Amino acid sequence: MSDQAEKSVTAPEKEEAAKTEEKVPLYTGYDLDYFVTPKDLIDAVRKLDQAGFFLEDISCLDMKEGFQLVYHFDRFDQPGRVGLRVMQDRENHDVPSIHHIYPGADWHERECFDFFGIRFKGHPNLLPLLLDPDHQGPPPLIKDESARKSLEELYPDRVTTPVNIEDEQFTREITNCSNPKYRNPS
Amino acid sequence: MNLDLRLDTSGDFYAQKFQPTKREDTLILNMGPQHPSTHGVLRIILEIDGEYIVRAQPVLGYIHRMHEKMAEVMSYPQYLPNPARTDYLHALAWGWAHVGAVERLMGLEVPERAEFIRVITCELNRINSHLLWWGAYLLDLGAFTPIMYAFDDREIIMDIMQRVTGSRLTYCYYRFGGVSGDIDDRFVSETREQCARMKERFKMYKALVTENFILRKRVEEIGEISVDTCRRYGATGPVLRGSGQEYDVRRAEPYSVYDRFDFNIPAYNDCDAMGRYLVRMDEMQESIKIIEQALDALPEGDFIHPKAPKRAKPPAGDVYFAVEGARGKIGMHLVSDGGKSAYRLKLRAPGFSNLSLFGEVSQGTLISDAVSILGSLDLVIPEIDR
Amino acid sequence: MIAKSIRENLQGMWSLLVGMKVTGKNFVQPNITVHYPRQTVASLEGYRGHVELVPHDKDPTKSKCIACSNCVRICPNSCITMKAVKPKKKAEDKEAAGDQSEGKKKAPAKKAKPELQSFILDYNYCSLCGQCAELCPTGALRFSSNVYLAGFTRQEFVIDLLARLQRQAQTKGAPNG
Repeated sequence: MSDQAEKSVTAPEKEEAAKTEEKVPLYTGYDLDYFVTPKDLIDAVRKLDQAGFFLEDISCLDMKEGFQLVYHFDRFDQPGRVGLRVMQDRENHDVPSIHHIYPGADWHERECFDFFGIRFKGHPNLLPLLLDPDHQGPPPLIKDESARKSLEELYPDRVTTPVNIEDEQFTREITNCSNPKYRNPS
Repeated sequence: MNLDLRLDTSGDFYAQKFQPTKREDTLILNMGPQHPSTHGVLRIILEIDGEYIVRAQPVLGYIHRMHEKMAEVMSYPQYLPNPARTDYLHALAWGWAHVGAVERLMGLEVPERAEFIRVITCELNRINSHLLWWGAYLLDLGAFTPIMYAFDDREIIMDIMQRVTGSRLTYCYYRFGGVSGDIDDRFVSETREQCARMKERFKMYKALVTENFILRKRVEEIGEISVDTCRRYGATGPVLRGSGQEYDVRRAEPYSVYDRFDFNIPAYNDCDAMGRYLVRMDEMQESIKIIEQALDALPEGDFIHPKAPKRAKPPAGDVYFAVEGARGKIGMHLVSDGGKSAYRLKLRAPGFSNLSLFGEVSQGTLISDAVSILGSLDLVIPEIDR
Repeated sequence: MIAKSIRENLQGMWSLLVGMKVTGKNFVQPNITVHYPRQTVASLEGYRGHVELVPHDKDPTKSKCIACSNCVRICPNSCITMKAVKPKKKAEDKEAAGDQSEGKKKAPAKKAKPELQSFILDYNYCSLCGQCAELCPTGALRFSSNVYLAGFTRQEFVIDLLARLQRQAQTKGAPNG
């Protein structure tokens, strides 16, 4: 907030930053993380469904390039988190709803509609879920033009090109996905 | 409760948008938002055929506070008290999810003693949460006495917790890199005493309630949820374990020092409300096992990392951190742009996913059974609405 | 079939009797609840009332606060407002330097301690997280322990802690003022 606050942070801050740089990449909680195109989303989700994943949640971000939807999946018998990231244009919403594969996605999508105004294609019941139906004004989590950050600023050193989900490798990777810390109790 | 005729358009937004089935002999009934069995302000629009539910649609958002926006406005330490307000029953697990996400992004180490303190207090909190659920659930089913016994035990745990954390319900105890205060010998001895006492109490609970004929009739073979239903809706926690799937974040994705403790993951194959009831009853005993092991192995050292930043400022990037709360998997997706406050913080509320399957499960059940199912899902509405 | 249902019912009756036994046993136990206005609970250690200022070791009417306003900044709900003035001589300096850009210039020149004029806590919005007390460099904040704080209006919970401290210093021996 003020200069003083800034100053008192900088010293330990820098040390901290230096420390993290030296270390090997930290575990981010994602065992697999893909960018997919809105077109491929349904197929990718279907593959995850077949591999036995469940949908944790659908997170969304407002950034310079538009919206980023992050679908989190995890598995019961062989835990491991898969993140699917879909970039979404600010005006033309062409991301399909996945409620027919995961009925639980229904509410998560309605939540994204509430907070970001994203219209999922094919959603049967896109009504406000958490917000008041009489809510006026823009969706609450939309950022100001000046506050938006770009992909590079938020995810430095990360490949953001969409993955080819037709590839055998994708299927193999999600089937073998597992959390390194998980140990089977038996 | 107000009864609506099928063609009445005078209802509010959700009543008008409600899509009933094509049948003509049904009624539409509003349950809540002040119905006592919904534990707060949950509203369910029911289409009923006599006493049977044809279609049920929960309506949320009555105590929505936009915690996710607050995270973007407040600095990281300022947000510390917030997670406790989402789920007031298992406040510490939510606090843990928040500090855990920030620590993971910053690569901040937590001293061993602090980890143990976190485990002990979080498990005590879990017992408290389950005890309140137990009392309140039985209250829903018409048994008044058990909640009195539950509060007797809760009170002792809250007294123990109050001495170290300063609060009784909405704890704000965890800090980035540790906890806000150390525990002392008195805490240790009182916790041990309480653990010993609880073991006796569980026997009493079993004799008084679990084996009770009337309870069994109300919960057995009611609200059957298969593992696949849980998977499609993303239900976790006791709801999932009550369906026979041994999935617990403390095992699946071990955080902190949970991988050092020996504990079981209770799971029941019955898939009904009784299964979920038994899972929670067993989980309290498992929590006691964890607490006792943690107290035995409690190391000396700092309760907070000496270099823990007072004003956290994680580097740009995003992380996901999940912990096991009393209701299931609590997840936090934190995206930082390197600033003083989060760029985006997404909270995954376990109750949100658990409740979303209610519409499917309640189809064809009696209203009184739906109350039993709702109770067995262990809903905390502030957590669902966030 | 009939035999099974009879057996089930008998077991059910037995479970009710067992439950009644538990209830009966507890019925003769002493009371564990407290009749509040006539009795009070003993276990109030660690209770957090609103924050209060810690008196200076030498002068109980003065606070340890050095008006660094760290607590003001950390407070999640912005419920602290403080007013402090620098001693006279420095105040003049400040006026002189006022024309130039403030902030950084002022910091090195500041030697005399600013004196706390008022420390107002809006307890209505406090969430008792305790970060103000933790962050305080001089340990000038602590939690009070008045459990029985009650009032009729919101205004009663907007408390000037410095005035409260001075009041307490005058009527000594009543820490829960």
